[in-house]
Order: sequence, then structure tokens, then C-alpha cells
Amino acid sequence: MNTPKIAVIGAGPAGMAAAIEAARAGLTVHVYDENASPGGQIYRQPLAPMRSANGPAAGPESSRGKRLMEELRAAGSRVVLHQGAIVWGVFEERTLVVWENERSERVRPEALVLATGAYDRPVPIPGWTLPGVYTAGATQVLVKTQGVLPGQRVLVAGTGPLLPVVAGQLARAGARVVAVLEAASLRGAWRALPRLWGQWALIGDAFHYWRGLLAARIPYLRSRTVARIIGTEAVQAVVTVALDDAWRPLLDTEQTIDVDAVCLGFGFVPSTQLSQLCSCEHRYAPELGGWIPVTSAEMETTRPGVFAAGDATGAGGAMVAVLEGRIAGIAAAARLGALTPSEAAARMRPHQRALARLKWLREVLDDLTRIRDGLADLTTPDTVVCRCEEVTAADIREVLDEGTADMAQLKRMTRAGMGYCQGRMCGPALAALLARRTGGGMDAIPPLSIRPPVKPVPIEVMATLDEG
Amino acid sequence: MSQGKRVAQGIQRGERIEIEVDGERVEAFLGETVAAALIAAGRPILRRTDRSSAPRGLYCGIGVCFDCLVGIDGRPRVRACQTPVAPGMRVDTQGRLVQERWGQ
Repeated sequence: MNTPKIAVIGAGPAGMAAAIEAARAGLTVHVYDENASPGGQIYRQPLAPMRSANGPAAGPESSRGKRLMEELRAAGSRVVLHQGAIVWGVFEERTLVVWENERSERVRPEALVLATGAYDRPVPIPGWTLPGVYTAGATQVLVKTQGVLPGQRVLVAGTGPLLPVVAGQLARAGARVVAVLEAASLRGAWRALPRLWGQWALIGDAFHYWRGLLAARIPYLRSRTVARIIGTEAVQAVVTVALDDAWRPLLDTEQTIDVDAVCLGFGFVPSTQLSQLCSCEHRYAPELGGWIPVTSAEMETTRPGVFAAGDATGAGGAMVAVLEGRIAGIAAAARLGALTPSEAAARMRPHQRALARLKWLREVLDDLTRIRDGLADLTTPDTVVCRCEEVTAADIREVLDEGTADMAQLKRMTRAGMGYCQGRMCGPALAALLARRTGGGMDAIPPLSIRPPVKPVPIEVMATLDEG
Repeated sequence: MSQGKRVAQGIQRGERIEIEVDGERVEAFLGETVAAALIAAGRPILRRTDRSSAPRGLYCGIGVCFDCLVGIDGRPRVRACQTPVAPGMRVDTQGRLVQERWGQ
């Protein structure tokens, strides 16, 4: 058993920032991250020996990532990075089980920071399982860190500020982006303008990406999305449709476009598997992506000594994640006695202030692009909802017709959520289908219950747990 | 058919190598994931599903969806998006190893 003072799970913006601040307070921090190098999704580094040459896909956020990496490096040996490590369970008293180097080990820190991030919201649309349909995140990984275009003619659809970013990256790398479809009407967007005052970094980013769209003459259409994707062995075409204000598809507005790749980005779902395993209290926040752990102003969850930061506590982007990560790192260090309460308060204050300003702006932006109920109308009876177990919407409705009224029973009856991804892909859509049937809100439907291993682990690796 | 392509600008690639995909030689570069190398080679189908034999490819790209599972050097169901290529690596997109082992 390894017993570090403090452990951080996830080495994205929030995890890096938490580790930096805890190290600055004099602690040795162990960081566990699944990827080959730190950075998370937004600051993902190419795999060695491949190197980024600051090419056309690099945006203004990459310099912020570099500065954070330099801070992490400056922390030296006080930050112990465990890359390629999967935390596959949490047991009593913050005891983590980590799969690293083909073995499992128990790790029991005195303070724990969960910075597990978020993933692209899966939205079941006919044809979305075809090769050539990528999430916005997958598209960025391919273009930015692998230098591979997903296709020659690409449609980008979904919602939120990431869409023009991805489209610009694709265009600069040489793909033809046929259009960007924003599902929201963005009516009332002017309300965000006064709140933008002072957010020069965000304004700069937005300007950079809008200029990219204009330069590449990419049409940006609002109140429109993908109705279905056509192809037998891979994507051949896409049918788009206009949406009303509730995002319900409108009759006689369909249009077919030949494409060989589709990029879908409908916002993010926070990864709460580990905070659920820690028995933290969660709340439903649709504007932040769904179920999130309840946190204090110091980013502590309802379990003492367990902190959470970044997109795992509600999708808010890298700038919010870094501020929350710093606050969590400082608070955890104070909890362990490495900082006095007044030192900690003084270190936290500027980050808390910056966070309050960013959140004020995000309230408007999140409300504009919050997922509307009508989107579920795109899921036709023969649409696959659970990609792992190939369960269709019709299969699920049949079980609902028989009177199934909760997620656990729905899972047992259909196998939806029992596959390799363990419900990460179908969970939000299952909850939406169930909510429609029960007539209650999504907040009345708790997420699928989580059990270790939270990611598939080979049995021989699991079996090493009690050695040594 | 989806047409992936390598971009010249913005990336310094590692050494050019060859991997074996379903018995055929495929070009790849060190530092690429198996998924990226196959997409760049115009092979977006990474597996077929157990029940309906539907084609599947890279979807989430960050190791969450488990839809890009391929056989690699005799090990079944490995995430192509999380696995770097290596010289001479043998990739199986047809689930042959699973068929041999379980007689399906």
C-alpha cells in the first residue's frame, strides 16, 4: 500500500493546477493519469517521438497550456507523475486501486483531489455508430496531436463554443468543412456582451476562431442539426434538419449533403464515476452537463478530505478548471497542515475572484447552449442507444411499456449500460428516455450506479492486488 | 468511404514504419496511435460488432467509449485510440482471435 499525503486523479488543467499549488505549499503530490503524458484533453501532447510544430491547428489556448506545463515542471520532484495509470476503484477511506505497469496497487492518500474531466455528450442519432462519425474531442485529438484529417469533406454539428474552434482547426489542416450547425438559436446572446468586459483572453480566443471561420468561408447555421447519417460501411452523406426553440426537428426542412466524416459536439458530460464511488453527494445541473458532485467554495465535496475540480464538477472549460484546481490544491494543503488557514485564504482569494467573474459570464453562455428536450426526438426507434450492447431505442421503449420505472431495472432488462464503456455512452440518453416516460424531471433520475472496476481491467492485473 | 489523410504541416512525425493489419502491410509513423494510422490509411472500420456485425470505428478518441477495440499482437479488445503503433505490430480488425478462442 502506498500512502502519499495527497493524490490527484487526472493530469488535465485542473489536476495539474491542483498539483502545482499543493507542491508550492511544500507537499509531495502523486498524480495518477491514464494518458502517456500530462495535459488532459485540451492540452494533450503528441506521443513521442511525434512532436507538435506549432502548426495550423495550434490556437491561443496552447500558450496557456505551455505555461501550465512549465509550472508543473518547475515543481520538480514534489510532483510525482504516474502516467498510464488507471484508477479502477475507490474503496473505504479514500483507498484507491490503481492499475499501473501491469499490476494493481492500493493507494491511500490523506487528501484526494478528483480532476477526472468530462467527455463529449453522446447523442443517439440514426447512423451515429458508422465509422467516420467522430466526437468533437476525437476530431481534435486526430487533427492536433496526430496530424490526421478524419475526412476530406466534414460536417461539424452540435452546440457550444467548441464547434467553431474544431471547424477552424479542420479547415486550417486542409479539410473542407461544409458547414457548422449550431442547434441553439443563440437568441439573447447579446446578454453575454456586458459580461465579457474584462475577459480579454476569452474575447481573443473567440476572435481568433471566428476569423478562421470567415477566412475559410465556412457557413455557420443556427437552429439546425444532423437528423441522420447515411452510409453502409462508413459515412457517405448526412441529412440535416432545422430545429425549433425546444430543438424539435421541423418538418420539410431536411437537406442532404455528401460528406465523408461528421464531427458531433453536444457539450460535455462530467466524469463522476470516482466521486460517486467516494459516496459524495451529487446534484443535477443541466447547464453544467448533468450530475455533478456538490462542492464548497474550497472545492471540497461532501466527503471530508475529498476535493473535486475542473470539468468533473461541471463542464466549464480549461480556464475555470485551472482556477478550481488551484483552489482545491491550496485547500487540500491547508487541510494537511502545510498552510495555515490565513495563508490558504490569501492564496485562494485571487483565484476565487477570477472564478466568480468567469462563472457570471458562463451562466449566460451555458443557458444559450444547454441541451433542449427536443433533441431526443432525433432518436428513432431503430437508433442504437447503447453502442456496446447494440440496444435500440425500440428495445428500451418496449421495456418501458412493460412498466420499468428506474435506471437499474432498465439496465437489467435491456443490457443497456452493461458493456465495456459501462454506461458512459448510453447513460444520459437512457435517463432522457426514462424521464420522458415517467413525465418527471431528469433530476428525479439518479445516474446508473457505479461499481469497481470503473474501467475494464484484465483479470490477471486485478489478481495482483493482494501481492506485496 | 471515409478518406482520412495525413497533414504535412504542424506535426513532426517519428520514423516511418510498417504494421500488419489483417495480414496486409500498412504504413504508419512512430508516435501515431493505431486508430490514427488506420484512419490515415483509409481503413476507418476498426471492428465489427458481436451481434449484428455492424462496422465500428473511432468515436470518442479519448479512451471512454471502447468502440475502437481491435486485436493487437494476440491480445483481444485493445483500444486502438490509446495504443501507439510499433514496428511489425499485428492488428486484427476482424475479431479472429476471439473467434479462435471462443469458437464463435
